[in-house]
Formats: sequence, C-alpha cells, structure tokens
Amino acid sequence: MSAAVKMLPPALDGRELYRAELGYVWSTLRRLGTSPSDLEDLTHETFLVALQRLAQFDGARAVRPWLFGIAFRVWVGRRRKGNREELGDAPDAESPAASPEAQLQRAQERHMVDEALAVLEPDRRAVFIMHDVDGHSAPDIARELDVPLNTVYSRLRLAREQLVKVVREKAGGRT
Amino acid sequence: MTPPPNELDALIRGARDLVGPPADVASRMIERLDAAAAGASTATATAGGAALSKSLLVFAGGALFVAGALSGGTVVWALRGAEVVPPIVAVVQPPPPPPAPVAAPAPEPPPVAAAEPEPEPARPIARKPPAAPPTASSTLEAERQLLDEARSGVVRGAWSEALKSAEAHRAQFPDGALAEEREVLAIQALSTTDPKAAAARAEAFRKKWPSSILEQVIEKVVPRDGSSPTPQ
Repeated sequence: MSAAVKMLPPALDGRELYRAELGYVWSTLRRLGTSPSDLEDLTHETFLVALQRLAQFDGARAVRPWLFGIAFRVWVGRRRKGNREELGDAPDAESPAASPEAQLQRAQERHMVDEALAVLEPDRRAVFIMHDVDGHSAPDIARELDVPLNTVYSRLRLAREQLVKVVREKAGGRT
Repeated sequence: MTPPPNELDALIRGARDLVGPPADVASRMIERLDAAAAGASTATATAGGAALSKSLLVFAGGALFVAGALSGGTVVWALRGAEVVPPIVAVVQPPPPPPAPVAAPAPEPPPVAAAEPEPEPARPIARKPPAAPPTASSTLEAERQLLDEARSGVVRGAWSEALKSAEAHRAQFPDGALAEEREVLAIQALSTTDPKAAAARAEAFRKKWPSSILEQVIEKVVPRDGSSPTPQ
C-alpha cells in the first residue's frame, strides 16, 4: 500500500519560503557587506542550503534568524575564498512612485548605512544586524550563530560602541 | 539587553529599509530556484529506475522530513497544493540506504511503503519542467499568481495593490491551499493602512493557525502583546 501521506503544513513549502524571504536574504547579505556583483549568487546559494536543510528545520524556530545564520555562513565562506567586500551601488528594488530625487536620497542613505556597518568585524556585524536591526532575540541569535549567549551580548555591546563612535565622528565632520 | 543608544536610531532605521532585488532580478532568481528545485526532483526521480520513481515526504507535527537519503546532494520537497492530487507530496522511493529519521507521528515503515512502485503518472509534482509554468487553468497556479501580485505589492510598499490582490484571492479561494500565505500578505498590507483591521485579521489568523511558522512574520507587524510593530 502506499505510504501514509500527510498534508504539508502550509508554511513549510520550499517555493513559498524563497518567494516570501527573497528580499530578506538579499538584504541580509547586502547589510553583511556582500559585493553587488555577488549578491545574486550568494542569495541563490543561501536558499539552496536552506532548502536542503528544510527537512531538519524545527517548525518552532523563527525562520528569519535561521535564514540569517545560513546567509552569514555562506557569506563568510565566500569571504574566505578571497572575495573582498565592496560597498558599490547594489541594485535595489525601488518604489515606482518615488521621484528620482527621493530614490537618490534613499540610495545615499543606504550607502551611509553600508559604510557604517562595514566598520564592524563580521561577527559583531552579524550580531548587531540580527539584534538591533532585525529585532531577533539574543537566544535565537546565539542558536543560529552557534555562540554562547554571553558572546552575543558582548559582541553587541562592542558593536554599538564602535558604531556610536562612527556616528559621532561623522556628525563632528559635518559641523 | 538594553536598547541601542539613541545615536544609532537613524542608522538602524536606515538599515531596516528592507529592500530586496529589483523585480527583474527577483524574477530571475525565483526562476533559478524553481529550476534547481525541479532539476533536483528530476534527478532524484530518474536515477535508479523504478526504485526511485517517486519521492516520499512525510510530514509530522509541522516538520518536514525526507524519508530516504538524498541523491547526489539534491533535495526533493513537496510543492504545496499540487494541482494533480490533494496531498501535496509526490511519492518517491528512497535509494537503498535506510531512510532518514522520521518524526514520531510518521507511519513506521514509510520507506517500505513507498518502495512499492505505484504507477501514478498523475503525480508529476517533482517532475515539473523547470521553466514552463503550470497551465493557467490550474487552481494552484491561479492562487499563486494572485499571491505573487500581492507579494509584489508588499515588497514595493504598494499596500492598496497588495490588499486588492489578497482580497481577490480570498474571494476566489477562501480556503485555498495558499490561504495562510494570503492572510499574512493581507495583514502586512493592512498593518500600515488600517492597523485595527490588521489586528483583527491577525487575531483570526492566530486562532485558525495557532502553530503557523508564519506567525513570525505577523509578529513583526502585529505583535501579540500589542506593542508597537517592528519597523520593516
């Protein structure tokens, strides 16, 4: 007889996963510092890994921290191969209603964010993005980055200190 | 953990400006992933002849397991709302190695059961051609098209458009295979334009799908505790 087949819980469809989270993974890799020329490939690679691991994914876990962890490792792996970070203009989705001036301003703001985040070493950058930008909990971060909870807190504190310094220096430079 | 210093507010807001790839790049990427998915399914299905004619995916307690070893690093997963049969899963016999651990609620010998070749040519789920879209008459494809429109609207911040597509889906497919995703998109669209409606819809979602993995998405825009949503 055929094996018992159960209905797939709606939310665990691989295709729906990447359709729903494509923007998040792309943005995550961008914020981590992926060069514009590598964004598409690394995003694709991240989802390939995620889809392969979908079988082991615990439905009780939050999806985005899980995806962030995968994206981070994919990104770190690419860095180790020698791909350098570039802050160039990454192609981004734009609101069709935005004026050219608004789009330019938005691009400039994103570049400033990219510059600031690039100051942080990767591990601190990941924790800062996951916690302060994405709002993920420290325990989730610890689990997905596979580090102790105290390490998360320590890296977050140091990241914030570095970024405050950067922001003050930029503000001082403008006055 | 204490909140971040106020001096970082602007930086954090800027970093939260979640923008994905341009629409053409997004489409291309989804096609690549669809092709990878279909290619993996085909490779798994064609290797080894009859013994690998189908894939079995067993779902238990909200988790997805592949019963059987993966072939050549490829992966097969279920495509929801198969246009052919109500159960989403295509049945593929795993290769000779014993199956991967299956969650408790799974039937005991799923690989054994799946080992019986079942001539079910009507379940080509895992063998969909990578590039050719399903026929327009497919219910699932119709659902997907509407939700793709709604999702595109959410990504672009075109809330009215997103809601319109979501409502069109609700009118045509009130209990469709993608109803859960529809509700999430509608809640996302409403969270900006009509927070009260978003909250009501989120409450209804949580009652209907209390264990949904998509709760994480809704929590960002309509937190359970009534606090301010996380800027997206």
